[in-house]
Amino acid sequence: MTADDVIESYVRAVAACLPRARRNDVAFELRALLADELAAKAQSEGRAPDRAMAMALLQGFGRPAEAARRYHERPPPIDPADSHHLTVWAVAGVVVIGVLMALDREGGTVDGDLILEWLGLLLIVFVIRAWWRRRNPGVLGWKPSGDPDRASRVGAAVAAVATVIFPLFMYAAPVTFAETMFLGHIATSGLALDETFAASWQRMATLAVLAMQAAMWTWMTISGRWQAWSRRASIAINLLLGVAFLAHSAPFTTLDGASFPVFALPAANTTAWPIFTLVGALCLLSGLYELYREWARIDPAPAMKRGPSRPAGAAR
Amino acid sequence: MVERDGTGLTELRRGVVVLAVLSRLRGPQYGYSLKQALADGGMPIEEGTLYPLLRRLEANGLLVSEWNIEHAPPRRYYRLSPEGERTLRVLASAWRDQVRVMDGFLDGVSDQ
Repeated sequence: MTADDVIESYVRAVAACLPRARRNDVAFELRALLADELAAKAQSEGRAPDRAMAMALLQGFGRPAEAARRYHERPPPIDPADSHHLTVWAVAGVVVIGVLMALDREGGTVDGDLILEWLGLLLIVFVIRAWWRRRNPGVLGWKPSGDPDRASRVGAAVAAVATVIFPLFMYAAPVTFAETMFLGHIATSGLALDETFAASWQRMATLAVLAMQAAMWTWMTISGRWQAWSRRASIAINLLLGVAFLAHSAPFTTLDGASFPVFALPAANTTAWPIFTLVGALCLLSGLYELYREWARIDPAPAMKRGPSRPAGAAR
Repeated sequence: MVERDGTGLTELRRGVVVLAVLSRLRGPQYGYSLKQALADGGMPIEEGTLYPLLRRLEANGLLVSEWNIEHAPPRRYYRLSPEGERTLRVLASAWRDQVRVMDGFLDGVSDQ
């Protein structure tokens, strides 16, 4: 391959990366420019141009795609500024799917293809967002958000009441809960607890964590703000509940090796195990999400740490 | 941002490349002759940067070009358009202002 062949090959590769209407024009000029450059290089080195000299010259121009980009810049399919969010969403999705796959005892409900589908979906969403932003500058712009530590008192009160009713009340006395909720219109005997489970430390521990959750929401109703201890308590409670409910999705074992289920009736356990798995997975993922938020948390300004303050000299 | 190697010359030059190119195109030049003119004047520019820049300046209406095919090899000659001449005057004035400002900032800073 001669030096001219190398140059011609490079020109073709560059032109192939350009819009069709510009290819011949750029190729014609680039061919002439490279010929000038090569002739000057050969003259300075005192020898005839060859393949190695042409390759050395083209090194300075970069890959054909890079050279073509300098002639005709195309917008990237995904806005480079969105790289961080794309990575976070991709990793979060893979973690969620990984947890669900690990808990999928039946197998086949959640498989590895879901990861590729999730990444493909993200790609499509971010490409469409970038395209939409280019077409509509100013749309999908940034909007200020509120104080992340402020908690809605109404929302916290609803969460506290809801936690006491469901799952605390339901977990503590499932038969009474069902009779109360359905006014005795449904058969509740299937919800009777296994005697060993009813007296087990596992049940007491789960009840204690649920009670802590209700207490935490009650405190949030009063204070109206998330604080360091309440954020961390919420993480711990969600992770503990996740582990506890996942443990409920299979028979427990006593210290002497005997196993016991949650409900007295085998059919009730068969029905409840997937539900316990789902609830446990949701609690675990909530805890992991809160843990990530705490890790990624940005320290508030000193004035915000102290709470609302008055301007200097303002009347008290 | 200035590179950690302490030079920062790439960024410094990038800002004045357009002005340098416009200043050398008050008369017609083809790509390689312009590159040589800039290098001889003390501002070497990579060919991979210079040639596409000429096309962009032409697309922006600052340059006009024509092919000369009377002599071998055929070459594309660029020169300033009327809009390019106006832009050159504006940029030259802005550059001189910047030099005055920077000289004030750098007063007392010794050369290496």
